[in-house]
Amino acid sequence: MSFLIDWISQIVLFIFLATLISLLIPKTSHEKVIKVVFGMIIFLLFLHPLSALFQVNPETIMSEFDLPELSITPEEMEIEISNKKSEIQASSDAYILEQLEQSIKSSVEEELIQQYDIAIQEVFVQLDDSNDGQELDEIIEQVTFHLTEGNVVQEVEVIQIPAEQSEDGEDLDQIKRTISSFLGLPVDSIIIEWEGE
Amino acid sequence: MNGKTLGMLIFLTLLSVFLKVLIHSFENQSVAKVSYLVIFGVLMTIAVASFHQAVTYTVDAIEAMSHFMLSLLPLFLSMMAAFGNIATVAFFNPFILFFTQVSGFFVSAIIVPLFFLSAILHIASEVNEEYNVSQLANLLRQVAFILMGGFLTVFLTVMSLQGANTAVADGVAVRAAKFVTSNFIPVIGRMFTEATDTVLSASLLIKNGVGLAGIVVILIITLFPVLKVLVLGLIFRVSAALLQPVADGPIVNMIDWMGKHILYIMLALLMVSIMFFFSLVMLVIIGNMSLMIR
Repeated sequence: MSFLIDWISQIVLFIFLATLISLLIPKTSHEKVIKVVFGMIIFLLFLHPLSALFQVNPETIMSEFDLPELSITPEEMEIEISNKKSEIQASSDAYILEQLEQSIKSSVEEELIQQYDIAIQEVFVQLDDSNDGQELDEIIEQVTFHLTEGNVVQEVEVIQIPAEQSEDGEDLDQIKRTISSFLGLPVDSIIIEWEGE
Repeated sequence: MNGKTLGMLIFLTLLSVFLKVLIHSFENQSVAKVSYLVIFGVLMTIAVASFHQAVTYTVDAIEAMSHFMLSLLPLFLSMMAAFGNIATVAFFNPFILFFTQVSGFFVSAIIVPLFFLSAILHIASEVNEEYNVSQLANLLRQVAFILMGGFLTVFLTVMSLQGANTAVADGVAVRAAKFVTSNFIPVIGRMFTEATDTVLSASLLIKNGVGLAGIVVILIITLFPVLKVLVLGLIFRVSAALLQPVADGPIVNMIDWMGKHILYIMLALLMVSIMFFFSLVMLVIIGNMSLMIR
């Protein structure tokens, strides 16, 4: 009998609550949806004795659905979480690296064009994985610059190129020094590669 | 007390009518609805209080009756046993005692809660238009009626059939004893039987007197609670009938439902009192029946 009384009082309380709430909600198109949802909840409340009678546990029904995420153990969950975490970290690291490359390129580009008439094709930054969490200039192991002659020079005939390249050997140190002073990095960590020729 | 309830009901309903007239002057419709709901809540409190009172009357009356039966039965049954209704007493003593105890529990723990739940569900479905649970309420009421009918039927059937059986058996036994005494004891046997007959008829008169007194007392115990509950129920029904032309709607429906359910409670009380009444009448008749066979 007390079960019946509990059940009925649940239903009645919910109906009163639903009445109050439906008075409070504004008259919009959502009102109908809210009423349908309340109707569904009352329906579920009506079904409660049936599920109690046949000892149906909603959780077992839920677990019968093919939802692999729901059935993993805590250890697996932890591994999964750490995997996801390192994945996210890697992608964010890659993003930061790219940003760094972009900013190095944009900051050095103008200087190089002005001084040597050389365009930067690409910049690769290689990080030192062994020590993390330090200052930026300590983490950067080496910065590789892929350089090309400026746009004007590219159109110049092929014959000129060896002559230019002989100059490059002397220029290389100068370019390196310029870049290193500009970026505040040691000269050793800067590598310059010529591209296109 | 009851007049006050009636006045309160009518006053609150008229207030709700007044409010309904004013609804159009409110800018916001839901303000009017909420105030209507508040009046509904006050009315509901009064109704539930009255229902509780009816239940208290009923349970008290049933308890008083069963106490009376408990004190009457030893006297009555020992008197029946005194003039040879051994089997009848052996059957009726546990049977009536059992049903006296059970009926109190049955009414107060099963029938009254079912009616109350039915009333509450009816009221809850009157409060709002969207979520109706009146079918469940009807179902609960139906179950209560079926249980009451079944209980009464089982009681009366077992009582009358088994009671008549045992009465006949007793009558036959007494007759056999009388036959034996009058035929096998030579001189004083017949005289002895005649004397026994006289004593038996006299004691039959006494037993019938006690039984009738018991019936009258049961009637007196039942009468006032039944009248009180009847008046309570009628107050609700009458106020619903009075107010319907003025304020038709959920409030009048609610008052009507409450009145109906208070009358159902009265029905449960009547059922139990009829049970006790019948059991006493049956005891008197069966006692006479076994003497009839002789």
